[in-house]
Amino acid sequence: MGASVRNTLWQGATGAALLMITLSSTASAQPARPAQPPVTTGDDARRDVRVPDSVPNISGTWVARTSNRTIAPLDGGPTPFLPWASTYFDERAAAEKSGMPLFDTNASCLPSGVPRVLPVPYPLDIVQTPDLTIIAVEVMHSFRIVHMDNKPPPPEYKASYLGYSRGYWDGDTLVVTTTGMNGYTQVDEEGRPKSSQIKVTERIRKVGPDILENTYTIDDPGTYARPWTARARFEWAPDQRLNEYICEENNRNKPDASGKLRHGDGGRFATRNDKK
Amino acid sequence: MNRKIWAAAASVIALACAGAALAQNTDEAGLRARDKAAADKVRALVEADKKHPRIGGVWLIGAPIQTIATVDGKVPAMTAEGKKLYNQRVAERKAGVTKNDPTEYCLPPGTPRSLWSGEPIMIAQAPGKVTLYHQYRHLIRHVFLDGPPKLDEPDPNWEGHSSGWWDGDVLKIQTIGFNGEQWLDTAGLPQSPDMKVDEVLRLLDPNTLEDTVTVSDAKFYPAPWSTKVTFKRLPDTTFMPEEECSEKLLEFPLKPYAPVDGGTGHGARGGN
Repeated sequence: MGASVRNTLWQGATGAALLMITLSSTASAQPARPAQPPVTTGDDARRDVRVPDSVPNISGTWVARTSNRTIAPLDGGPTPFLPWASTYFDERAAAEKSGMPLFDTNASCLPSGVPRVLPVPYPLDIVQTPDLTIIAVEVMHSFRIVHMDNKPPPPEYKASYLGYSRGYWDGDTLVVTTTGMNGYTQVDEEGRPKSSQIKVTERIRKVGPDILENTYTIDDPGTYARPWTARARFEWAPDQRLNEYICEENNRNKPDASGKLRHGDGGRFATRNDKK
Repeated sequence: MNRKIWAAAASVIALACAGAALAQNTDEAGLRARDKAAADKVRALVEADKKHPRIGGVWLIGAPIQTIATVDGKVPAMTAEGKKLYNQRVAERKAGVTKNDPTEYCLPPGTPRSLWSGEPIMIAQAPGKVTLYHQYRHLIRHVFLDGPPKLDEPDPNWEGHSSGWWDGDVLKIQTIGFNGEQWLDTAGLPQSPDMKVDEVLRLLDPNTLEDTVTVSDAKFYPAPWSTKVTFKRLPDTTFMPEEECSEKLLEFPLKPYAPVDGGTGHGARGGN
């Protein structure tokens, strides 16, 4: 072995050692999975301790893998619009293309309603208590209260944006039924409409260690010829915290009298960001 | 020259493979250890929370508070700057001018003002987080039970950033990171972005919750001052209706879209 080969080997070894150090430090800085309790225990720190262990634990923070721009049938087929709904959908698409999008409730800081609020690209925070499953959504600081007695709304209930949700566990699946929504919101951002007759049935379960799946069926005889089903998936994000999301701080894209959106002056606080 | 490069490359690859395998094993063992430590920590939190008083449930303050008084029944002592702002706001309200109160724009009352809104507050109690869900404008406050706040640069906001910890039978909460825009009550007690709010939540009996709120904000108050509010427990299943403040900011009434709801199916204003 000549000196030059020995020298080369030494250089190689030094290189390998350096590489090893790099690999180890990379491994410790970015582990394959962030430090978190094993999935088998669920996020026990995030749900009420009085919920029996037999109830699947879906408490904690989740982030959608999908967006709510389009909620379309899972089977890939066409959305079964009634004629008015098809016209409405086309009208919105044309308006958006023309650069003058039409009003929707989000433009005035009003909630998206169900199911549009389900696959939002903002974190969800779920807390299970013995009586309720509370699903908070970062966007518009909405929270949905799922009444686990699975009873219909109380007599004093009035139609609302998010509706009245009730639920029960069917094995490993949380089944949530939502009714009692007002007719002011859409199924999705793209423009699939809905009526106050809409009933949304969600089937929520863990399909992998860190994956929550929500398969939901939209049954709205006032808008669609038959019920249709869509799906959203969420990743567990235990270290993520919901931020304060205050649309009202910047509520300046108000519609004018004809319903077209414009940049308006909502007052001192609404224009605060404009002055910056 | 070529041979030298090949020899060097081969040895680098061989050693790197061994190194990577070693690193991976260490990594997996490390992760397992971390998982176990995290799980043990969660278990300890769960066991501890089983012994804590149940502050979870739905709570209602005796009466909405317009003007906060300290525990001595007085308006908190203010600095000259604080007095000036407060007197101006009180005078404005007397004259019927309310446009400078941020809540008029549907902005959140923030901490602690949301505590005295006079509407039900649902508290979900979990070992690692206590969450306050307000019926009032459906506002949410997440109290992470990770001790006093450690955020280096909290994004300033209305609710602030709340951290809590159990001290025996009381829950202590500290909130920092405010934007300094909100009033502490309808009368107009001011806050600065440096305000710190300390709360002590105590169950006086199973159906009565007391929150002692201490405000520290040297810009407007020469000394920290405290006020006490008590809440009565409502049934856990109390229905909290959805409240949409922003509806009042609309320049036209909403109309439904669908013909079955009396809409015309047009998109502009939800049926025109």
